Amino acid sequence: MFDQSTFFQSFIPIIRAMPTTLILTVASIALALTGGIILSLLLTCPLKIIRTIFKIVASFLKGIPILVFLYVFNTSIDGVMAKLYSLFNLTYSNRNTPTLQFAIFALSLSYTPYLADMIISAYNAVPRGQSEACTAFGFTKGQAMLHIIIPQMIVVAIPNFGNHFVNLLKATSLTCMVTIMEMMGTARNFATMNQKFLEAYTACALIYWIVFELFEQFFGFIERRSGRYLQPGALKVRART
Amino acid sequence: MAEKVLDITNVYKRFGDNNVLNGVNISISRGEVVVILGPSGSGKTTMLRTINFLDPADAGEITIDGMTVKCQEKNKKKVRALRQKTAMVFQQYNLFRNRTAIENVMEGLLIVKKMPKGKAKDVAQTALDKVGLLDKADFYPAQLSGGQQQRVSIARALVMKPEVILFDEPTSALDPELVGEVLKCIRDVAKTGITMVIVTHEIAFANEAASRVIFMDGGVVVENGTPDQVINHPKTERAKAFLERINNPRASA
Repeated sequence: MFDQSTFFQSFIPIIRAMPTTLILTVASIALALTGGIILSLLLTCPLKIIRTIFKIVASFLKGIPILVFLYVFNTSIDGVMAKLYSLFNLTYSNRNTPTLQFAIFALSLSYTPYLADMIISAYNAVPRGQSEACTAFGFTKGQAMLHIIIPQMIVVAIPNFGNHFVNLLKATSLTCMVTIMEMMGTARNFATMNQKFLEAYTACALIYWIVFELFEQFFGFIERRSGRYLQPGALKVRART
Repeated sequence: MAEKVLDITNVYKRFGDNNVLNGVNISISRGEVVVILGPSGSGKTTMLRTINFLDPADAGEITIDGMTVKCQEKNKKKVRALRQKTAMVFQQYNLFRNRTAIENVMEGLLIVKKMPKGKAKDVAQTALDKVGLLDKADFYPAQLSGGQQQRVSIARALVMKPEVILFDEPTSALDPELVGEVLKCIRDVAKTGITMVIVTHEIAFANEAASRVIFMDGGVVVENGTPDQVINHPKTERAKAFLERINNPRASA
């Protein structure tokens, strides 16, 4: 039997855990994007050796399930932190272990190669003639990237980035396996305490879907706005100052 | 005779096993409108692109307005300084897609010439007016026809006040009914006395607007003279055969 009152009660703790889920998502995607920018530069480096090495690195990172990353990182926290502290002559106490930080690191590491691919394909999607025109007019490479190429790359990358973002949002649910009390972990706790599993998990599913849809709408909006200039039909004369 | 503005000296270029340019020598005086004709694969576009180092040549020198740069020059600053004496109009327009028409014209002024925004806007408006597109100033390239885009790109080249404007087949990507407006625009620019090098297949335009016609084939200059000399009275067999084919497409079939 489906107990409706437990179903509705479980919303409260799960929604309270939403900030943790959002922090995990935003921090991981930000870190993954930074890593992705660096990795994309390394993957397109003129030196073949560098390219080959980081192709292997990228493939390695892609090939490992996120849960495995989380377990490996979580198991090594104490050892790594103790080493790190001893470098600065400090003693590490495992009472406040940075579990969340390590989970963020693990999540971002597995998304880094995908974001690097996204950046490379966005670069390739900007027509060659755009940078040629910059060069012909005497722009430096940096000026061309900053004013012409990167703004166009961002427009190309937004739909892709939105997909990675919502995927990562869902993937943060795995961090409950390393004791992080985000939405999924909270739902599981609530379910165990009340012995009402179906109710708590369906509530959790519903909340994930709502958050997902909000971000979908958000990225859809950004996509339509930023891509305006590529649409011949939509005449939009901008107000000028 | 007027002073020299552009000298292409002994330029060689190869792509892999393909020798595209085999010692090109061209000298152009200020105010000349030089049209370069030739069959496809004759190296005319490549030659144009070696002038502003978009495709640096393997050997030779380029002199523009008294500044000589060796084609193998690796110093980016020198190459950029030479480039800034030129401006280019591309076959595919290559307008900045994320900029409106007026922003396209302003971009080089703001970034390369470091002109203040207000002044750049004034200059850009005058230039857009000259090509008859002031009413389209706030439109993005995707919202303009090919002919309009090419006219914006001509305005974009003009405002840089280059010593020489390079046109790379400016009408080849256009629908036939749009070719006229762009050619008219180029003709108007030519009247202002600016030096132009135009690679094109428009023989009629060459005949009427050029002050000099150069015929290239096999990576070298084959004929070099007034439009009348080159187009109506070609001396070499290669030029004769090419013009025959262009003027009379069905005869060669």
